[in-house]
Amino acid sequence: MNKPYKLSYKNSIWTCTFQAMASPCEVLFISSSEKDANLFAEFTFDETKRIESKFSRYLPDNIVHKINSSNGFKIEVDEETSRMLDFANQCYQLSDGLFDISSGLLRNCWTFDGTEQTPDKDKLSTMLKLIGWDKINWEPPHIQLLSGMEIDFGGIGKEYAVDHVADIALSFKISKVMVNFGGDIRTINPDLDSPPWVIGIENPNKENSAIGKISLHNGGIATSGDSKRFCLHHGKRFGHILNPKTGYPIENAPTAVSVVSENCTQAGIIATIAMLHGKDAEQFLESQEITFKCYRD
Amino acid sequence: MQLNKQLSIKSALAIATTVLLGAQIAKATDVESTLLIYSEKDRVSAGEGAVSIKHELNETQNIKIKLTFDALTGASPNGAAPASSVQTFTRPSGNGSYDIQPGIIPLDDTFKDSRFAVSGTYTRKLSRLNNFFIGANFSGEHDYTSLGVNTGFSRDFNNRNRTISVSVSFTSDKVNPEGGVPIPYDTLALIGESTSRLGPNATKKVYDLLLGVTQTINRNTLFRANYSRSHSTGYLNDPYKFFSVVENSSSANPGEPLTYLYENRPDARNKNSIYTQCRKFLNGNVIDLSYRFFWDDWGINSHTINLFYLFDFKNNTTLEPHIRWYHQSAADFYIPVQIDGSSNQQFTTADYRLSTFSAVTLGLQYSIPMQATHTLKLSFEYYRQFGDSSPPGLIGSLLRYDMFPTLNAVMFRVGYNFSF
Repeated sequence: MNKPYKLSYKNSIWTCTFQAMASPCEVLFISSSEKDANLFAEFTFDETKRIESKFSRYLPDNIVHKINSSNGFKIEVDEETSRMLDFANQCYQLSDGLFDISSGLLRNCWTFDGTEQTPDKDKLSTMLKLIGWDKINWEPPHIQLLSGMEIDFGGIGKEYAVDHVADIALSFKISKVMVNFGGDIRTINPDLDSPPWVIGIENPNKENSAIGKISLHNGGIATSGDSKRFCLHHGKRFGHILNPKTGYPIENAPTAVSVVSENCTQAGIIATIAMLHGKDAEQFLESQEITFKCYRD
Repeated sequence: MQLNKQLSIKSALAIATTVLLGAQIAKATDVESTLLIYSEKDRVSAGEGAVSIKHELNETQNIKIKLTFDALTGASPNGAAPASSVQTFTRPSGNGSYDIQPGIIPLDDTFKDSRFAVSGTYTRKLSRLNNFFIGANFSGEHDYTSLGVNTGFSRDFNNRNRTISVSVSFTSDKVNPEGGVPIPYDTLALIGESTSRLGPNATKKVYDLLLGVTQTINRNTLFRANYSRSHSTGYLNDPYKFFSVVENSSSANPGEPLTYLYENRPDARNKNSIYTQCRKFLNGNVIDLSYRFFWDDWGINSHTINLFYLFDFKNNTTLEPHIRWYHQSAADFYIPVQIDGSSNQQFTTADYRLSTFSAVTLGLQYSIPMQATHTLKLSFEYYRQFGDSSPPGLIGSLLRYDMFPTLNAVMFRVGYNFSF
């Protein structure tokens, strides 16, 4: 029977690849047992698909859909969703309201296809009334949105899946693993005397051109930004990162930010918050005392 | 100031991500507990308590243990027919007797029993698509013990849209009735009268096979079909059931009892059933319709139709009304009474459970989430069983009596489920 993922073995490294979360997914690991390798590969695929179908805002009938269609009613969420919402809440607090999982509605006001945009001011002010984590009543395990509000785990879900899959490798007797879902990466290798994982970092402005290599035993890498998605407003170029407070794209934002940190989720949030800092992105990143790469046109 | 605030993000995020990722695959323990009260009008009352514990050993294995205790008391039909005068029956133990007033279906009020049951199942995910389980169960009451083992395998196909499963079980039962195992067609003894018995106990073995397929039709529709086959062999009588032998139509009192003989059933039974179920998810609500057809080589056919609808309210409480209709035909060897002068059939029973009857169940379940992983469930069921009050084969005075009084029963259940 055809498996929905590929598992191969070469130079003592297992490679499992599949497509999920709108990205090519690749998991490299070392296992002395073919049985454990197979089990882990299957589990990796299943867990990734589970997280995708649970937290994707594009799929109907999941918890996100249930919350977004709750029409002002209180919704009880499960333990895992509760952890995600707690985390989103902390990100909102730590970023002074810049990282906001309720800001997705702004997508309806802007089209990032490189064209000149003049947003409908009335629509924008209507939308802003439906945006803001502070308007959400989150009393675990119950969440209550204003009618019409929406949330999405866009900035958290994939990174969470990457870390989650890497963490569970240990229970499959797998000591060394690298999880790479479309450039969001987590590595585990507790044996610091053995060679680290070596990761090529791609220039997000130029496809297939590695701009450097990073050696990492244990850590996470994430990139925020997309040079292909931008719009023009009064002739000025804006990236697709929107400020949830104003409803307008962030001015002078980098085209992309890559961050190396302790895990993928942490790296992803720092990269996203850096983008939201616009022209001060580098200053913000410097202050975090982390390895990063900030790309500007 | 700004710098300090920014510096804190990284370390605060480190803690936040640890919490987010900290609770890994839950090695959760799920507990389900229920208390049930069942009451038949004028007949049996029962109470049952059950606790089921499921523990995830790791991502691929779990064990489940269930403990059940129930207590039963009340009266049950002994198989004899009503009569125009008081009937006296010896209790199964041989000590003492009970009297039944004229015109009434005789009920043996001796029933008083408690049962303890334990079962365990170990489930293992063999690979991404294959699952396996193995289990054992035991139950004991003062006159009956049952020991069983079971195992099964399931496999997902077609992107998990189809699951095929097969399971088998074997059960070995032992009955040690009060007063010993009666000899079929032996006359019900009078008080103090010594009577020969087959022995102190008897055994029965049951082999079951279940084949199932579950198919996802589309995102909102699920279809399931099962075929099950069961083969029983050994002592299949109810040791407390007998039947009346009544005076024939040329006698002075046609229909009045002369004597009572212990029932006699075949020592093998093959049962089959086909079950189909369709479940549809409608915007959070669920509608579920199932039909089961059963047939065996004792001549019984039955049909069961079950319909339920689940209302999922915004606050996560659910309300689940259901209705079930059941009808069965009688076993080939069922007779309400035997008429004096006719020779014994090869097999005979007057047990109402093997006669033609119908039943309707109306139920309502209300489920209330209490906190994160706790749920309270309340359910109520009303059961009504009705049969042929004047079945073929009656004569004389028997034609005046209700041979199948309608049975009404209610059941109330409280369940509390939680995980930790």
